[in-house]
Amino acid sequence: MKRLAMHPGETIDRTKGIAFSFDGRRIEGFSGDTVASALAAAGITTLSRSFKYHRPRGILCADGRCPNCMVEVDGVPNVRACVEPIRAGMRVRHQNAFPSLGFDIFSLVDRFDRFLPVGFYYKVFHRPAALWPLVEKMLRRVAGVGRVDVRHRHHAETRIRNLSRDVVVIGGGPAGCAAALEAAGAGASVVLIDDQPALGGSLRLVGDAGTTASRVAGEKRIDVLSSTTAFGVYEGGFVGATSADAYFRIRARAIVVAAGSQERPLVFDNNDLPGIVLGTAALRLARLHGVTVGERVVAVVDGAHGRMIVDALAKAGVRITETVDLAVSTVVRATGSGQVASLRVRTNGVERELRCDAVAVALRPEPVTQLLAQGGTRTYDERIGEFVPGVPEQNVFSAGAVEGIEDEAFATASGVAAGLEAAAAAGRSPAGLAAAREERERTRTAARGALTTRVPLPVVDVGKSFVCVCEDITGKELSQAIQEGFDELELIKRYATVTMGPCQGKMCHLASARHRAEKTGASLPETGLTTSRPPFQPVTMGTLAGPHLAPIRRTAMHWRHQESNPRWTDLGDWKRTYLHTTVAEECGAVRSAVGMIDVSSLGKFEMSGPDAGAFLDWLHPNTFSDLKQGRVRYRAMCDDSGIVLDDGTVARLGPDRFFISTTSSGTEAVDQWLKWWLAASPRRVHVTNVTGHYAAINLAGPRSREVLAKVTSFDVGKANLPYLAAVEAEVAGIPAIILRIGFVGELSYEIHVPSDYGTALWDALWSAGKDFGVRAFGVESQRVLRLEKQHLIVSQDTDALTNPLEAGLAWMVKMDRPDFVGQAAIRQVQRQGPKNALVGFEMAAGQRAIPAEGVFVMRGNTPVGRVTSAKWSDTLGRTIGMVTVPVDMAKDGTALEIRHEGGMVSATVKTEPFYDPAGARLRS
Amino acid sequence: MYEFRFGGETLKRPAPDASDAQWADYRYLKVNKAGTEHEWWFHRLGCRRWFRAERDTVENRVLKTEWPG
Repeated sequence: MKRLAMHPGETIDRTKGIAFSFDGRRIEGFSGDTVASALAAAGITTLSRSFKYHRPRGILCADGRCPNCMVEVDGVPNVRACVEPIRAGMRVRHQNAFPSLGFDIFSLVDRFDRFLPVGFYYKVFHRPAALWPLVEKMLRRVAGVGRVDVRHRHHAETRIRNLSRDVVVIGGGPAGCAAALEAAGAGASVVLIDDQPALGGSLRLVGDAGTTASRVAGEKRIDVLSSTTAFGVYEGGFVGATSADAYFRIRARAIVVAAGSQERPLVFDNNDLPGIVLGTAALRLARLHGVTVGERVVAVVDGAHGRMIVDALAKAGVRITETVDLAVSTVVRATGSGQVASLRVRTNGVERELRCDAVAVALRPEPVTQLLAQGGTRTYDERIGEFVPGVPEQNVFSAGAVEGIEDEAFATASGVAAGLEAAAAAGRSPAGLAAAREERERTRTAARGALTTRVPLPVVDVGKSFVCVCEDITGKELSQAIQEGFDELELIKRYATVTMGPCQGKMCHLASARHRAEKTGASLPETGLTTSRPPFQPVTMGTLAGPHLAPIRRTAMHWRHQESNPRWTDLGDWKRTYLHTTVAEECGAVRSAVGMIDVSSLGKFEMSGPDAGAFLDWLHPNTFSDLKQGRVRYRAMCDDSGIVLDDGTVARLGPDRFFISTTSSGTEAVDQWLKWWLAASPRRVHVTNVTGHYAAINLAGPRSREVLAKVTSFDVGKANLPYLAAVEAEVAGIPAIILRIGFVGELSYEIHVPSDYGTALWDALWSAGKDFGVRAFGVESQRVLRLEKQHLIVSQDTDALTNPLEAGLAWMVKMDRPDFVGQAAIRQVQRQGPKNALVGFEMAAGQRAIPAEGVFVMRGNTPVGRVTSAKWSDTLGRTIGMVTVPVDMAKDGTALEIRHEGGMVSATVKTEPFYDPAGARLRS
Repeated sequence: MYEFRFGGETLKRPAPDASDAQWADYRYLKVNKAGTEHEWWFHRLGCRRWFRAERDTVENRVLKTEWPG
């Protein structure tokens, strides 16, 4: 055990033991322990293996910011052990070691690192190409972090919470707390985000965090989000933040960033050995968790901050055997097997070995400017030798150590001023703003005057001196990248992947900038830092996705269908019946008697006004101004590239009144498309999307007329209601629009009624159809039936490059007009000649294969076309489908070779519909 | 799902007899200027109307919005 004596301020409760397992071994910790602190107390220093070289890694920052302690917890990979509270029975596993953490065969890579040179992604193993699949497999095993258990549905547990406040404050240290209190005092609503479990920031480690925290807790206008990390500051006062189980989307009128400062590692040979930790990490473990990182701890410091940490560590009971001051000494290398055992330092040319079991590296912290730099800028302050926030975005303010000034008085004064500024920006009128600003400048001047200029840290490019622990990048590799010509920081980043790992550069961006500056002779400000982009802290995709909440649209008749327990399918947001019984039974009913399908998901629009006909002409390759009242016509719509966007029908119900149907999936796009054209060139047209307003049923089959006649007094006889007629009439006492159209190729009626009456219509037709053997049919049967007629489905049989001439729609295109949307493009295709054609194909009767949709049609060894639809047809006793092929292969009777399950199958082009090619049944 | 949908730059549609090259320009070659851009936007989760906006693409600041026509 490496527990220290009990002391005030610790956050563990030594009366409450909690047991969990690490790689199957039972570990006992206390309530308030993190996984890392409990493991450290149990003497376990190696938590994981590194990304590339599989080197043992242990705690580094103990602050949730570096990659070193990432473990798998109950199946969730890449959990930072240092901020994950322990729970009874939790199962923790190491990552990235095979077969075990203690002995990892891939750590041999460490000895043969010349095979994984800098930029290895780009230059090794690509030749010979035949070997690549094998090498890739091996690399995947060696490189990478964690493993994803695909059965684990972690994202289902993530909530999305939208918050709206006057002010959001990021950082719960003294500056952030002061800002939150002042803003709230001025009447603003505030949300305070802090990535630690308790407020206080640096005060939790050195000082008293309790007073401030209780003041914040007592302020009703402040909501505190603890253990929550703000990962992005976006335009419009938007902040994204995550906690263990929630994703917060916060809108604020003003933002205060008080993100504080952060220690970074020192670069020297073997600087990644377990036991070598940041000074604040050692202090955090000691103060909060009562754990010492070692029995003989060497401290490395570079000034006042380090000396303060050393004092605090000693006070907490940590045994510091030696303090190395970088002002006079250099760290040469660490040695040890699996854990640091000795640190070699040089002072005045004399080298010494310092025996130890831990090293606390307490160097002057660097302002955490990333969030401010995401939207604003970053500048270099020559006087203090620090990258500090530059011009912030509008209504974004900063306070405290993030400004490069580590000082208690300044933290408070700048927090107060920023809080009042934020309240003012949020529309409040805080008192004392001018005085607060003066006080901030007074403390700034005083603290800045006392600050020394940062002493540049040594740049090392020998041995295993890690600049970036996430991606295992050494100083040697950075130097090599620069020698190879990647000498700008942003290029080095992309080539060597430095700053691109899970820590997002928090540990290494300054060291890599220093390295580049030194090796190219440029200054640090000339070198700059890499661009800060969200996320500041890694965010899982599942967190962003949130809970599995997809909107569901149900048709009016949904629950009636549900009574007979059909198979459902999702089409866009809609739930539709896939099959009610079987394809054979459903198709058989439609072909021989009568069937009915719920088509309520079709998009529906009412268009009225004197220019409606002309507007429809403008939008389509065919025309509608010449459509007679009481008639319906097929429509297919193109954009100005001549690409088919959508199809459906247009019915003329009055002189200036049209009823339009669209594909189910295209409804929203059509809505926006119509509105855009009306906005771009106003017309006397009114468009209403009535998709949800109408329920619709397609009653289809040779007996459908008899069924319909039973429920309406309207004369549905062939003379009064012929093919392509459109009327408004009562059906089962319900006002309805009846369209005589037939997607499935039979005598059929598409009947639209107000949604509230959808079930009533369904029931009426069902009762009326009983004597005729009516069956409900689903989407799958409809797909077979329409395929037998070669009726295309836009976006299944067409894609983002299909024009009407290549989709078999040449018959509908009316070119002898001045202009319409897509005309110029279609004319160009006409001039150049269509390259492809969409045609039907059939396979021999004995052949049961059904090619998958999307498979290639081959000419010799060359793929030249593809199958867009394929189904088995019981009616025809063979597989049928549609293909898009070059025009010379589109002639009736052409033999096709189609890829199928690793082999080939033969098929024959059939340009006419397979079923009722003359359309006699449709018109009957 | 975002509240507003970007609708592209406001461009002048070529005359019907314009050359293929002019049409190709209109369809595929956007100006994508760094500076003040005139754009279409659609208020998808609101009034569901299209409007024009002048936006500084460098600062991503909306300078002006107006109803078309």
